[in-house]
Amino acid sequence: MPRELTQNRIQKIWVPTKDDKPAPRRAAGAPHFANPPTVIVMVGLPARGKTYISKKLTRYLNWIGMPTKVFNVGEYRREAVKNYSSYDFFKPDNECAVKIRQQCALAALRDVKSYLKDEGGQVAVFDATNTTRDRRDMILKFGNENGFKVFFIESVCDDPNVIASNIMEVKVSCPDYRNCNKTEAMLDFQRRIECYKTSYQPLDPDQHDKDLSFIKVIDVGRRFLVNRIQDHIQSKIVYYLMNIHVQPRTIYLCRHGESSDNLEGRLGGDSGLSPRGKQFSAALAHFVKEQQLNDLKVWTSQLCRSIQTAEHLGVPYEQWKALNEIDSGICEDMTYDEVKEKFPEEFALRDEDKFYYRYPAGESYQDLVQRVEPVIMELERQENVLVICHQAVMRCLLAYFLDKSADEMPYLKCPLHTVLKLTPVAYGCKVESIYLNVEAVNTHRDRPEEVKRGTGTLIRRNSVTPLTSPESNIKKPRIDDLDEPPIQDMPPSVASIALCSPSHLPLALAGQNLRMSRHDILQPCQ
Amino acid sequence: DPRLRFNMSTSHNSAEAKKADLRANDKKCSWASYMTNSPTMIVMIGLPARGKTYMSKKLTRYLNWIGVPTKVFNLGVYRREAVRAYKSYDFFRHDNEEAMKIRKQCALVALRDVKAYLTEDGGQIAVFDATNTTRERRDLIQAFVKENAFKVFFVESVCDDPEVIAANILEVKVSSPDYPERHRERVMDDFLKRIECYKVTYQPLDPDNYDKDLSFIKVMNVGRRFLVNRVQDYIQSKIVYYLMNIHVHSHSIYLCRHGESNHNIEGRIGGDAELSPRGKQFAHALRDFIEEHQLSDLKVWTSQLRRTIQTAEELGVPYEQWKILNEIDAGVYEEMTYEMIQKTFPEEFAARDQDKYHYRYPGGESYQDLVQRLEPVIMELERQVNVLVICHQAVMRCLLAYFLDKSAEDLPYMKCPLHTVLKLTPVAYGCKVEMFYLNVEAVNTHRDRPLGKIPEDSALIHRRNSYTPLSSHDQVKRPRLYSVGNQPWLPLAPTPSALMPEGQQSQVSERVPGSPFKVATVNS
Repeated sequence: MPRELTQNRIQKIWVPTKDDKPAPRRAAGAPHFANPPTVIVMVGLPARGKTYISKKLTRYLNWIGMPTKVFNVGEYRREAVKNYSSYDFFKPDNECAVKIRQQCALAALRDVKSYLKDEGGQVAVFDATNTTRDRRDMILKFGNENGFKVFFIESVCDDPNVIASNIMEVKVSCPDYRNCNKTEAMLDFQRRIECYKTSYQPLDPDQHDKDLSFIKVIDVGRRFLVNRIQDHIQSKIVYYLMNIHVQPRTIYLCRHGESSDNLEGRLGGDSGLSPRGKQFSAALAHFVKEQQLNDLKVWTSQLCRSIQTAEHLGVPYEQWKALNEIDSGICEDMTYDEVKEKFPEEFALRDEDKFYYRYPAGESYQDLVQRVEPVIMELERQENVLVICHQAVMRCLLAYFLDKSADEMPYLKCPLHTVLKLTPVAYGCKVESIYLNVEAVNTHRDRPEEVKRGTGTLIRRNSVTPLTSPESNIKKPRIDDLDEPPIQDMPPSVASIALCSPSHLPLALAGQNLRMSRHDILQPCQ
Repeated sequence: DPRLRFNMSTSHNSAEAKKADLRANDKKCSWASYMTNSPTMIVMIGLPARGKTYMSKKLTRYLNWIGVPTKVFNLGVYRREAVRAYKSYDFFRHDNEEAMKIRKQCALVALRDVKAYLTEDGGQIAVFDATNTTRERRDLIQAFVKENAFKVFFVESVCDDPEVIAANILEVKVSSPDYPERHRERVMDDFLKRIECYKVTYQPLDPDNYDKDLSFIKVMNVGRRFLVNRVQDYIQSKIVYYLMNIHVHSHSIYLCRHGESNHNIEGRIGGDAELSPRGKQFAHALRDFIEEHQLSDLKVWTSQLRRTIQTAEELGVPYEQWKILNEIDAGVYEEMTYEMIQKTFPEEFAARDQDKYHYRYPGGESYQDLVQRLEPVIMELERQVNVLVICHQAVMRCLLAYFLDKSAEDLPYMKCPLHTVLKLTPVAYGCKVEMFYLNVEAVNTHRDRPLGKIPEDSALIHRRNSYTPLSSHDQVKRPRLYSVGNQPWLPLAPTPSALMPEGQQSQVSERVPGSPFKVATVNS
């Protein structure tokens, strides 16, 4: 007998149970891939961008709702061995060190296992050189034993300029070199690479590794070799890796100018700009000119207010329906007060779990993430882009770039008449918030004080629920046979470089309602 | 403009202005063409029987469906036009000078057509389907492309699995017009020799030196491995993604709508109503159907609307809900009947009849929006093995248009009756459709194309605002060389008439009362 259906109140999904918790199955429409968890194994010499790829991919997968975490063996090693003296440590004939490194890899794998088995993780990224067949065979065996799928990402690069700039950007400031000058560090690091070269066995697509699933990324994305993709997630990963690039560029996000609906505090709708909104458009045109960007692409939604804003710029622009504001269904065109009066229950439900809450006959933030995913993919492909969008949409985009969780996303502050300038740096993204000095109403509604928090972690499985990439949490020393006492705290430089901690946000986004004058807030997100 | 519902929608195209303005308009507000900012030529490479034509046709169908005007130029067709009677593989020997001359001539004619298509006929992508196995030939193409400011992307298919090759020859080559009524073994033998002729001069793409600056994808052993070099733009990246997701394992896709709903009975559109008693009967019949056809390992997908979920619940198997399979959003007209809309908003109603594909419901969606929304479903369907999709009328039309290569004009009028399952099986270059009526009565929700309201413009004009499926037109086959008066080897089997809009029936189909109604046909 078919079961009776009831509609889940938060997500408005028909479920064959009376349970009113957010549905256990993923909600936003991606198919349910009841796949075994995946271990992504990076392969490559040092300074080949493995960590960059790991972190970026992890951020993306978390954003689309696939719980993912990076396990960086270097951090385990630094934890185990307090003082790095020189590349000697990485010589293949340094037996003691080889043993330590092996131990670190094992400790990391142990953590991978518990992440994927007990902590609800779906993808673990094993970020280490993994340059030998021995090591890779060990990992394959590990995957096999635990029923994990294994997908390798090898980064191959012979361009000395690329390698040198990578070393300069992220390696010389690494905690291993906190007591060296840059030249020494550079030199030592190059020797370290040489140590690995002697034993490096690249993936061999023709013989030894022909049955493995992998992608070889050659010369920073100039070429890709893709072997035996097994499933949806691998195909998604490959597509993502093929679309990202490392050219310097800037992304500007802003909302349309203030609209007449904004003035009245109405949701949704398709109204035109208010006089101040038009003023903002003019200010934006001026701002764009000032930035002196060649080839700036401008994207808008298909709603009047964002198109009107773009029209002022006097440059070509593209309309995306995918950038339209969240559809508030039966609440379109109403003010919050009207919603509260007419649909008090709905109003309360939204406060309860704003990310999952779907307006009746409308959308949730979760739906929105899925809708704007192609925009993210295209943003990754492009160089300089200005996106003129809407509050909820901007929050979704921003959450991707700043690695914000589903819980934080719907409360990110994206005030009117303010441009956010995002610049990729090292492993993260620098954010500048530029208020263009045109007054506007405040459309932000703070998170209500006493809100029952949604459950979070577990329901995220298989759904499009962005998570923040978890911070690496190496808890306690695990290798016993070492002379040095283990480090208790990570040095701050590690924290800032390696982790891109999401707790350091520009003030404007983090909370207080600050009024900024032009250009005076400049804070990297790390 | 009520059809497009862009607040600042550009230009009202007059018929004359359309060609000249086409690309200029694109720049302004298109998104499909923004992806393909200059026309692109896709050049296939590979020995015969490596699936080049399969990939060409399939890719073309996909690109047309997402609204990028694309056309295949198959050199074999030109050659057969030029040389009426194929005798044997001798023709393909590299030392057959006369034949070489003819073949080169054919290539030049085809390139001329490519140029006309991309510069005058509004085409965005031309797929040049030929072996192109020599550098000389590829250099010639590159010179052509450069001269015309097109982009070029190579797709090389490499396969050394003799079984795959033999299967390919059996499936598509023995039925080739080159081999009328001949014996199978002779065909196989001749074709293998033909391949040998090409092998002598074959220069595969060399990613390390000679061809390292080209943009290409090498597809190895039917998708087991891919080498991708220097992808230049959005459309190339899309093509690569698509090629990586299509597979050739035999599989069937079953499409149907939910069982009849209470809204269906009342003639209301949209909404989230429950199944009617007959709808429940259908759900039950669907369960029997699945059992009868022994569809184990069948994945079942529904939308997030109650009527599809109720239908799936009856099956007693796990199923997946996709929001993107939800019915077209009728915006402010949700839950109204057509009569109510016609009475209350006669102008809107007329606007929809005028161009149903592009018409966007106020506050809702158009068929065009729907195609874009459904694109990930298509990509995932291509990856999967056996899937049953329980969806909705407009959604099913969009999906069907992809598999059957229907244009934007026909798409919104395709017949997708309630209580009827369509089984789609890929064969050769097309898709076989079987239609099973499960013998449970239901109301008719189909509204025919109003008479005399055939859209005045071809799809070409409107495509600029993104996803407008076109059907992949068969290339024009005018004999041009040595016009020896050979019969063009049409016609391709038509789509079952039961699916087609009124007035376009291409075949009479019978329905045997009481038994599942079934039409089998091949659509290439």
